[in-house]
Amino acid sequence: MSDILNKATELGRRRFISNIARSALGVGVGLPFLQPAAAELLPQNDMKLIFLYMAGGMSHIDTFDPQPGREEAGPVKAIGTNVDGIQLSEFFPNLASQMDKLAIIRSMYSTQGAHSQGNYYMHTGYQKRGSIVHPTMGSWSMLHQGKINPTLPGNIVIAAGSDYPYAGFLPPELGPVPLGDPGKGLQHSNRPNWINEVQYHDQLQLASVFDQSFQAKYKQRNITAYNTFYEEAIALMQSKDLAAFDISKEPAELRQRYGANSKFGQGCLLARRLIEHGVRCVEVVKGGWDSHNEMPEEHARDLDQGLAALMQDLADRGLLESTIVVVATEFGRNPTLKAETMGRDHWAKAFSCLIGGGNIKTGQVVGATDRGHEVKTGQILIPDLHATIGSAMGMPIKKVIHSPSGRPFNVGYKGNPVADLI
Amino acid sequence: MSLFSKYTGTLVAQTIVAGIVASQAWAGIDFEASVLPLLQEKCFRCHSSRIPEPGAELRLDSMALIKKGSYYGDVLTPGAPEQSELFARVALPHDDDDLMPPAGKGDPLTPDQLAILRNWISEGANFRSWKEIEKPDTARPSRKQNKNKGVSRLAVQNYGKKSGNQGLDLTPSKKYSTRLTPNMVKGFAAEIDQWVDQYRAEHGVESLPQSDDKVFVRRAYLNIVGRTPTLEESLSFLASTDRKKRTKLIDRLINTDGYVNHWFHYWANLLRVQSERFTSTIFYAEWVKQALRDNMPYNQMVYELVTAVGLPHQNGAVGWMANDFNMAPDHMANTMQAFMGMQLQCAQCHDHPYDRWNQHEFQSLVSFMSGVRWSNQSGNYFRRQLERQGLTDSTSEIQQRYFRGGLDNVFRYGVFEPSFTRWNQLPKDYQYADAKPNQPVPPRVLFGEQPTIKDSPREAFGEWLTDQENEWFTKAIANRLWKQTMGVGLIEPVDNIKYDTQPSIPGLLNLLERYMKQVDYNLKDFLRILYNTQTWQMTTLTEDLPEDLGQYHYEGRPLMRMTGEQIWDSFVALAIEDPDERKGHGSRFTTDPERMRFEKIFTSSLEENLAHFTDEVIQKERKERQVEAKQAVKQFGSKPAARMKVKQGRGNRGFNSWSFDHMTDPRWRGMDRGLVRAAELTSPAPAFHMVRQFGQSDRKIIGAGRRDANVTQVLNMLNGPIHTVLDGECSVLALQMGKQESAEERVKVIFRSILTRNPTPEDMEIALNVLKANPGRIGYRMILWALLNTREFMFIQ
Repeated sequence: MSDILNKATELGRRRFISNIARSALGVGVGLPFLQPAAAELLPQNDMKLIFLYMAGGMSHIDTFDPQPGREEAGPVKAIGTNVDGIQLSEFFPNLASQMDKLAIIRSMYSTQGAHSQGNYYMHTGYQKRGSIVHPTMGSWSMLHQGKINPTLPGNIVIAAGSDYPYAGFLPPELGPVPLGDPGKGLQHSNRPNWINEVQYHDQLQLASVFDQSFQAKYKQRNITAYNTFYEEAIALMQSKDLAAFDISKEPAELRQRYGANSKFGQGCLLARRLIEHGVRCVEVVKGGWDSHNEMPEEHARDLDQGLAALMQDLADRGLLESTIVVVATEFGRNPTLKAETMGRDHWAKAFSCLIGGGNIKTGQVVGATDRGHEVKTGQILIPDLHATIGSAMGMPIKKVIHSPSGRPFNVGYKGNPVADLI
Repeated sequence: MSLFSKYTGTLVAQTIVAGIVASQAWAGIDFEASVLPLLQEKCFRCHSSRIPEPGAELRLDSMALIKKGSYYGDVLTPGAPEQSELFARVALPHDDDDLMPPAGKGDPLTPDQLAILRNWISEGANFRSWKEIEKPDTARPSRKQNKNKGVSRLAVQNYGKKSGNQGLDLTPSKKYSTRLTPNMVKGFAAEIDQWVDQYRAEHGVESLPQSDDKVFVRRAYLNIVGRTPTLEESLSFLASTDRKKRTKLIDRLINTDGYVNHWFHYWANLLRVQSERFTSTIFYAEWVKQALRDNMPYNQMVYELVTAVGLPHQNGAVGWMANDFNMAPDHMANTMQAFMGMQLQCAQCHDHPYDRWNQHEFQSLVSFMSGVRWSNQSGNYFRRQLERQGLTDSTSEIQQRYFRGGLDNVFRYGVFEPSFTRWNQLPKDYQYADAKPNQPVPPRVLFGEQPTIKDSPREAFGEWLTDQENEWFTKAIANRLWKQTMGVGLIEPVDNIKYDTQPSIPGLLNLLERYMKQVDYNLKDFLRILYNTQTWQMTTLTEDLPEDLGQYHYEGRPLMRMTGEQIWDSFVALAIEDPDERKGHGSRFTTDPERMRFEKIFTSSLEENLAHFTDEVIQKERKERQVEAKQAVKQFGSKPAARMKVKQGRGNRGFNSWSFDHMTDPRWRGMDRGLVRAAELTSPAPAFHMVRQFGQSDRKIIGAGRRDANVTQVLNMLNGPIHTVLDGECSVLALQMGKQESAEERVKVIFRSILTRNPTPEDMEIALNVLKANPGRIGYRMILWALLNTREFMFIQ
């Protein structure tokens, strides 16, 4: 730093630097609410969550509940996998060799057949109401489990739609930080190019000098909170962990494997990088599944490549034991194919989700449908899936949290973890 | 606890009177400041020209009418209060049958009020310059005045069917001006301050001085028009020696478009205005803005919202109910929360655990919505109509896509009330003994007289809700506005009022309720009173508010972080000229021709629409934007290079509805289209916009905005584009700096523009050092950046 500021700011500078050191070392600078609420009840764990959301309603028939040779399937064939007896649609050649790492739930059942309501239900475990917004799974995890890496945000969503529920009634800092393009990383996390590093630090000092009299007068929590977040932000900018957001650091071969031109694939890669750096929860949203008038082959193949690469990569790095991976969607598609367009309309009565990682029993199929029409055995509701994820993460799922309006809520509402999966 | 001991008899009154008379004798009673407000409060309800049949034909709203007296004769004998009916009738013992105001029409006058009246008559009943109450715009504003005349309440959604009785009311809406004279405002404000002082005294807190002018001017701009004052605005206020400059500034600001652009956010949070949900939801946003522009009385506004029918282009107010698609119980819960400050959601499924309301009562309330049908929001309406009418094959792909993704949106969001054949039923798991599951329940209000249902149960409900007799309707808004202006509600939280809740200062809430009624729910008048109080103008609290807000005794005004909108709007005002005149999102959609176009589509049959919107027409329509842009270029020269860019996101659908003023208007040529006030962005703003990062409500649930810190906000302040926008060569701030002769002067301009204060000598010294070490523009940029990154900038004192 240049010396013009030294005289006036020596004290401020020392305090500032020591604060940065504290945050960089992860010494408690978090706000009270960021501390896990149930820390005393639970052994702290490093379970993480990658939630892959298929927006628009993923056809179960054309993906994970194939009906080869039947009228429902149309021309789509099925292929075998590395687990005997489990078949996927022909659009999943890569995932076929990762099937042992995932369980297919074919008996999902929802009452919400419209996008907005269905999407909300799958994200929160609660039905959409006009008078409250419920938190996403990642936000619950932040409440109950907190950050793993204190420097980085603990909860991130990539390519969220405009109708996303975020932290709901919980404090907003528990909600996911939204990222747009996975290639662009965290918004505003780099020093702008109009200023060099020395000047940047000088102007930071300048700000604290100009602010001295105000800060001396007002000693308030909100002001302290901002001071803390300025420190956190600077620490984040200087932290090597910021590289967690930068997928250009990954080898070209690996980026290729995830799908070099696939936004979803690169999102999966970013999710893995973030998880690896100690981000607790990452959601990647993939749109395009609302296939009323076409066969969603392109989207299925995109999912195949990204998900297969992710599962292999997590396994290679030994992260799979501590990471729950979920593929979810708001509902399935009508088993009756529209012959003229190969499209399918909404179908909430039966659809499929995937879950793997952690202590989930994988390499199996849970539940079954009657040719994709109705759930035949082992019906699983969205709250059950939430309870399963929450419980696999190690959250106290039945612990009741009251919203500011005094209403009681918990992870997965009245759902119960699926016994076959855990 | 009451501020004044209860008036118990004439003797006591006279003793007190004597004291007050003595203290006021030197000046004489000012009729307009002291007597008129109490006549308004106590008597006008029955004795004014605005009442069709005033009691005893007595009207007290002009000097001539007071002198004229009642049907029975004179009411005023100057110099002799005891012989003046005007005094004698109000000074009777409280159990006397002749006492005014009569039981049920108002509380008796307080001893102080009696003293004032008596003294004024004793002194000779001098009206001074007062002649009459400023004539109101009309007789008492009817809540139904602006109602959507053209739209039949019973209109069934008729897309695809011919129907003759639709129509659009394009007559301009009625405007309501402020009516209280400055003296009346002052008198009202003083009474509020008395209550606050008394409350402070009871808790051993001393009265506080007013904030200084620098703090005041910043506070006034931020709270009334939602942004910091510009350099010129603050300098002219500070330089003024007018003793009434604060009152005058308040009155001036409240009558600008800045007031609309600021207060829009308050209402959009409360009313859950989501302008981009469907194409037509923009009309809901526009309706709210227009209501603020017109200063529509609050009771009328609520009545229109809760009774509206139609589609948004016909009547934007339908947005309030259309939001709660197919969820009548949720809609009722939201309505009660927003307008009565009560939370009844719990009673939707079981008796309320923390309040007196039971499920039966709640479901009876929901029954008022029994006749409502929502527009189908699925967006497949067009396709299904085509199929039903066998027209699918004769429709081109272009047409299908056009209707599905575009015109179909016109019909997706609306409320109709075709008929009510069956009342709302109790839920199938109803568990109490007083009724059976699935039993239909006739509509009943929670308390008060049961309203009579004529055409529409919702109208009956609306009448009950907004009636003056429904004290919580008025108290809830008075409390909300008190919180919004003072920082802490008299009841907290403002929307969880229980049956037995006690306000922190009960008498004050009663007083605010009375004022609200007295100003006929004129929001600007009500706010003028609040802004003119010492309480609003007091110095700032240096410590935290207590966790338990019941322990707050007005020890100072709470220090509040600016909202996201205030931060953004302050930037915009530093960057562009006349920010309130610059239109943004949706301004092309909310025009009358556009509404007519929607209406034409709505009232045409499916065949007619298909015949009209041929492939050629559709393609031509798509090209119109490009043509318009080309014409702008032709007319005004080449498209100017962007002189200022703000990458904060604009929203998707919104983009096509932006104007071309960055090409055509000399004030804003080259200025990014996104540089408009937050109220002209989409509602809510796009997820990555700084307005959202700083806690703007997503407007999905009532009042969800936040003011707490997070790391994305700070990163935006540290590394975002905003400061580079401000020192672009054409920003308002840069132009100001360009006028200065010396570095010192330029530094002063930056400080005054950002913080509304001068740099201290130390500030100046270090700023000049920075400029020396970093010559050229970059040094100023650093200073600007540093000031924007102070807490002093971000918090409102």
